Amino acid sequence: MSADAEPDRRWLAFEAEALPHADRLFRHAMWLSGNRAEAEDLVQETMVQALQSFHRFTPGTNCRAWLVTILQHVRSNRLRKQGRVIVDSALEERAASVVPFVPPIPDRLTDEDMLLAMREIPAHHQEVILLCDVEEMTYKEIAAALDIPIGTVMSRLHRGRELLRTALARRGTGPVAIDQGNKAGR
Amino acid sequence: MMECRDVREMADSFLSEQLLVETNHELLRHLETCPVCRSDMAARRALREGLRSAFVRAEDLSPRPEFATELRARLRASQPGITRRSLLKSWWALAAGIAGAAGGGLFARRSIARSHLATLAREAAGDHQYCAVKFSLAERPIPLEDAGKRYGAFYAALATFEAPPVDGPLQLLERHACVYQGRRFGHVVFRYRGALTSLLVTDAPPPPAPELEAIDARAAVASLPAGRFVGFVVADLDRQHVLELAQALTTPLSQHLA
Repeated sequence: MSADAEPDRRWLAFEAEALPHADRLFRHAMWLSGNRAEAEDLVQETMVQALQSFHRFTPGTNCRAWLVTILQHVRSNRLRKQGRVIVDSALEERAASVVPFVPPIPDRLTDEDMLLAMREIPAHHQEVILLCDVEEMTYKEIAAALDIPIGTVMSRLHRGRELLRTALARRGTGPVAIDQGNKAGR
Repeated sequence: MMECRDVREMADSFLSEQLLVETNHELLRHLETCPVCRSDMAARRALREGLRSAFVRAEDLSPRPEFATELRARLRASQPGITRRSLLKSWWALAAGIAGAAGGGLFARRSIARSHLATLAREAAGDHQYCAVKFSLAERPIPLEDAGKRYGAFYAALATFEAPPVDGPLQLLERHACVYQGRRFGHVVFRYRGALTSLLVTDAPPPPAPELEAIDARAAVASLPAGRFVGFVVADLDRQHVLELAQALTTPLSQHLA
């Protein structure tokens, strides 16, 4: 194959492997940033970086996890440059450790209940639950994406789920008494 | 012997498939005899699935329809060597994907269904290559019976599927559930006409009829309806033989998984 064809070949491979994940990637970015313009910019920068380094992607591995990892790193670098505090782990751990009782999961829940309850828990617990339960990444992939030890991933998941169940329980069992017109806010 | 407290502590790791095989089996044995833990596990699974669905369906989180065009323009600007022809092809793939997520028209939905099937076919070809041929998947395969308890009854049903007589020697080699690029498959490996041949079934809408998939893969791939699911036959064989095997398997497989 000629050198001139290399960009085309890489683009077509990128199209097949990575572009189908653009929608999910945007949803992830939108959830994290809560701002449409910021989410679009985040996804664009992620995709540009992914295309430039696509030769490093290993065929047969999880492409979505690879893209989400790039997105997390792009976002983390931006937050660092802006001087925004990402997390106070100690505070989160203390807050999580005071959960006295983990209630059962309510029988009936709407999409809105789920998303509102997620918004009620600390951001770093949201993040790991999102990566594990929604993006279906392994603990190892999550640890790489967030640049934290696997043990921290597990403890954040465990406590995050307790907090999520507590938040969901507040929304009641049986018929859910939530106004269906409400939107998941921030 | 595992106790209820142990099961509760490991429940989420179990659902995330992060436990060792032996621990997994112990936990499954406990679940078989403990209705309380079984119920708790089902609730946890429902919560995870509910969260995933809520996230994927949330309109507030979906991109603008024109975002696909803008993303393409930005990517083009970053890669000046890309020719117009390959860009046009990729634009359609991206636009169809995002239009589908936004609930586009019939044309868009058909394009998406076709595009989605092609993506699944590539994943099936990858699974065949990395699981049946190279034995080098990132995650170890699990028994279909275990997958049936965790992910859906069709996996367990696949454990008892018997292929009908077909044109050419067909020998069963292996059955399991495995994951490739985050996609879970029920996987039956045969030797057919002397070549390793995979029948892969995954939880996605079925195509209308068996069809060869025009994808860039080393092996030939044919998609087929498998009841409410989609199946693939993948083998390093003549494409016509792969299609004929897919056609022969369609009815008995659909009936078996119904």
